[in-house]
Amino acid sequence: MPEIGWILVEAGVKAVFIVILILSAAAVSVYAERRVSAIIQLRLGPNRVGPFGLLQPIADVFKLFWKEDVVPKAADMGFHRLAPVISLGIAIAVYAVIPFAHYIEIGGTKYYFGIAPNVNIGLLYILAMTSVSVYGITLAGWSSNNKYSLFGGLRSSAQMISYELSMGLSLIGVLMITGTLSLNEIVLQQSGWGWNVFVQPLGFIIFLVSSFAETNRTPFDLPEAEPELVGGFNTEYSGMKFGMFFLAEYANMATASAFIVLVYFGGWQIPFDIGLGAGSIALALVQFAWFLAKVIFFILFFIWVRWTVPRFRYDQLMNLGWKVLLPLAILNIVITGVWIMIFG
Amino acid sequence: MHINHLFINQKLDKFGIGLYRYSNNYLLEKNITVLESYLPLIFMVVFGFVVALIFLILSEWLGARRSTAGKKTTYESGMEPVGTARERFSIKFYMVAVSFIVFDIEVVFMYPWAVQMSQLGLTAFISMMVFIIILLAGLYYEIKKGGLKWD
Repeated sequence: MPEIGWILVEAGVKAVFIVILILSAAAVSVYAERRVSAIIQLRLGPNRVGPFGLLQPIADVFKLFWKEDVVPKAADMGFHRLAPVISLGIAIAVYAVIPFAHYIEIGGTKYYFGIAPNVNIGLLYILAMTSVSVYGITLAGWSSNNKYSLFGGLRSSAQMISYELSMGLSLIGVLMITGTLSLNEIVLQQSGWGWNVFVQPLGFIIFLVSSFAETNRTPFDLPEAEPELVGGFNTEYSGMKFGMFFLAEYANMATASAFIVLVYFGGWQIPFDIGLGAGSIALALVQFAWFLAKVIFFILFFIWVRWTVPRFRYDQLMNLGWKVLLPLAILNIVITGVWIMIFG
Repeated sequence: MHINHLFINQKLDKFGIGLYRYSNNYLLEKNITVLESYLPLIFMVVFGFVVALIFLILSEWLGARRSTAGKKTTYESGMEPVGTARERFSIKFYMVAVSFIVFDIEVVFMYPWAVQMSQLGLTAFISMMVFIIILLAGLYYEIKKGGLKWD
């Protein structure tokens, strides 16, 4: 069928654009993190490479590529190589279902902004992929054959699987209201100011806290608690292999922000009529900019929290996940269910 | 919005796996089946791993190679490494993993119900509430037994 061939060509062109977007988003996030942390701590931050230090992330990438790739003799070579590939590969693959804007119509054909935003399992796919990314970190910790790495990997896997439960349960409330797993469909239902965050405030808070834990960001950054574990699971990684974990972490932060925006904050839907026809390029670009603005807001929120809130102790972290967030997420499902049953 | 889940053409092919067409607008526009709509998804997964692999190869190829015996030892804050990391670890991590499997399977059971909730009606809702009560009882039992205790 020629149609399938064209679908694959379209996907290929979009994939190149999206990978460039992810990598530059990760680089810009690293720069933003360093500048924002500097502002919060009354320092200057990187300001030497290029105007305002803007070229710093590019310089860092080149530096990492030309650094020596040291692998300890005791490490398991195969898995040591595999771990960063899983982390970065999954971080990129997740973007397949994220819609960046609605569509543009050229010659009667609709081109959607995203690789497969209309697929009917979008939300489930993101959850499944973030589960797979646990393997990258666990394997990195185990294969390095280093005690710091092992503890970092163990902590990380225990933390990620614990918070995955409350993350999955908090989304069920949204599913009960929308009745679909397709991300574009969920966005379409939030037209105007009908954002899901207003009908699912508890679910949103649980999801937000869980996504901090899932991305291993402060206050949940125990896997790489520097004073105890040096670098955590990535202690024995150097050169661009370390850089791959680093990129994956920032790409995951952007994914989490995009996911929050799509599910709870109306995605690319513009809440007011701006007088542009559906399917026009101008409207799609405005939608894209609107979506991006919200994502950037949440990325800055992630950074702000990291440099403001201190780290949890491990037992506090586990108690919060299992004894607070999990029952609260179930309560959210019951409340939503009763509400829908009574008021339709 | 719920029309999405109704079949237009219920004719199954000889394998009977998801090759029928839904009245999903996207699938009708492109005149493709559900299975074909997953193709770009699979493509992106492969593409993501190819990009990651290129990064790995570039890292090993471009980096300097000045290996010494000292560099190849396991890092332990500058001290001589003691033993290996292939040791037994705390059983608590194992407990968390077992609890996760039990609860995750239960979460998976809730997804199909949540998506189809408005069609399934009151009977399914009450059954799910009973299921959730059993789930919470299990969680309460585990906490009281000290299965999630970290000291």
